[in-house]
Amino acid sequence: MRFGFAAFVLALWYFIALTLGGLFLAPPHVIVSRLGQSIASGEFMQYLGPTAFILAVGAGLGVAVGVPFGLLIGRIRPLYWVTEAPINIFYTTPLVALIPFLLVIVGFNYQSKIVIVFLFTVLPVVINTASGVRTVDHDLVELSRSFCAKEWTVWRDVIVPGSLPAIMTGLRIGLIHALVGAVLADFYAGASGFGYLIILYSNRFDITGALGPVFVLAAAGAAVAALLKTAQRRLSPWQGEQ
Amino acid sequence: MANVDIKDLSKHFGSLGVFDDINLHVDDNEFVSILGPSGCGKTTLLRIVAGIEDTTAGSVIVAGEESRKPRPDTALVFQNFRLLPWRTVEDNVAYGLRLRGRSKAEARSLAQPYVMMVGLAGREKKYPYQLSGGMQQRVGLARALAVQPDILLMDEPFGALDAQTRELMQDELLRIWSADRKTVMFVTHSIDEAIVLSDRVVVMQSDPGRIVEHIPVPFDRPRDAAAMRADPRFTTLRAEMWALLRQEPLSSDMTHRATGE
Ligand SMILES: Nc1ncnc2c1ncn2[C@@H]1O[C@H](COP(=O)(O)OP(=O)(O)OP(=O)(O)O)[C@@H](O)[C@H]1O
Ligand SMILES: [Mg+2]
Repeated sequence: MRFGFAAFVLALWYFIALTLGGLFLAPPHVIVSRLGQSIASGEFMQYLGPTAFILAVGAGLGVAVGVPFGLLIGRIRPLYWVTEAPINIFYTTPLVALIPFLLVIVGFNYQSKIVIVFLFTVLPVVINTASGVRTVDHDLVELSRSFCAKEWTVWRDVIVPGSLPAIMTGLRIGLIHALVGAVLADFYAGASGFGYLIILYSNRFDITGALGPVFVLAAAGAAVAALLKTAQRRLSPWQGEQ
Repeated sequence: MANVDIKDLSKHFGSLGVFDDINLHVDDNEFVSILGPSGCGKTTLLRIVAGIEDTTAGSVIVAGEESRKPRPDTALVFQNFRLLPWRTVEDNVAYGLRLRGRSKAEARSLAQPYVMMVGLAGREKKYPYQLSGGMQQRVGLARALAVQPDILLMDEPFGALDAQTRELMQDELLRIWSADRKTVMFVTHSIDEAIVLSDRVVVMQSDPGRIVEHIPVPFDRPRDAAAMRADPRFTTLRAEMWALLRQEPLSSDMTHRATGE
């Protein structure tokens, strides 16, 4: 099914590229060969490096802060009550709109890019983790309690495992948002990074060149999603095959 | 002294009164069954004794102390099993032991006889979703037995079992209890089960929930369930309890719920 659909998209692409001409949409093999040249010349790595760095730090921080924070507000009712509205408002605001402000406040440097990636990652992680904790079966918490479990034991045995599937979903969405955030940060803060490479090509109306990095981004997103799905299956064998 | 002393106990959920002024004393090493229609407050009563539900009025003294929170010398078998979906059968059975401070290996080896006892040998590594309802119930039972509590609180522990397994488990429970006496409060819907197992049967009625009779079961121990069932005294007891339960109109549960708000 999946492969059939992929083949269909590819065929459609070739059809459009060949009928409209290469200016609008180059055929995939041309894009790939351009990408190959870009990698061979070292240009690709030169632009990828800084973005990979801000991505690793920003998304790492986002997860490191988002999961514990989500667990806390999910478990502690007053905390949830206080933070629910601000988080939702923040999540609904297009973060893109905040990027210029951040750049002005933090500066046109890599620190501000890290902040941008962090913000893109942390919100879905917090929201999914908190909702996972809130949907943990309260009967199981009570079961633990009936055997005199202490609060931290309840966390370890019931709350964390019970919200694990939701945490993994949060990570999946958060990391994909992180990719988008990193490229957007490059777009705005410019002068380096993977997103800037796309801008460079686009400004030259070199669509074939620009689509190479876009391909790589899409592949990275798919890889992150697939990896986390596998991890989820490994980490929660109790859910059976899904 | 692992006795339970319930004095003038009342429990209300908001405007819904479950029961008022319940009095019940369960002696050290006594096996008491609680028999009553659905909704009369049996589960609520056990939960209060287990220290996971608060009281509206009155007191519950467990082993000489007011019961306000769960105690290490009691264990509760839940009506709805409550297995951890992320733990295997053996680890669910071992869970109570783990919470009592045993190491993983130690807890597993102590749990193993109880896995066997409830007929789940060979399924130690299965997860709850791979078990039938009756098997899950037996895991919940084994978990409570494994901690060897002085006071065992059981809420319809055989409710999900087929008739045959149910009798096997009754025999098993009789055997365990004879070998190692404990104080037991056992909630059931089954008159036969109550008679076979208990020293005394407490019959409740609902609307409002109350205890209407304490009926001692005069059979000697160790007991043979099959022989008991053939005994004329069994038939008499059975009829007596039936009559008490039947005074409850069949629809009372419905009207109770409908007007309870
Ligand atoms: N947490 C709760 N909040 C509100 N009402 C409750 C709660 N728990 C129980 N009740 C009500 O208290 C009454 C007694 O419930 P309980 O579960 O103790 O009955 P039961 O005798 O165990 O019934 P069954 O035989 O069906 O298990 C019922 O009317 C029920 O609706
Ligand atoms: Mg009940």
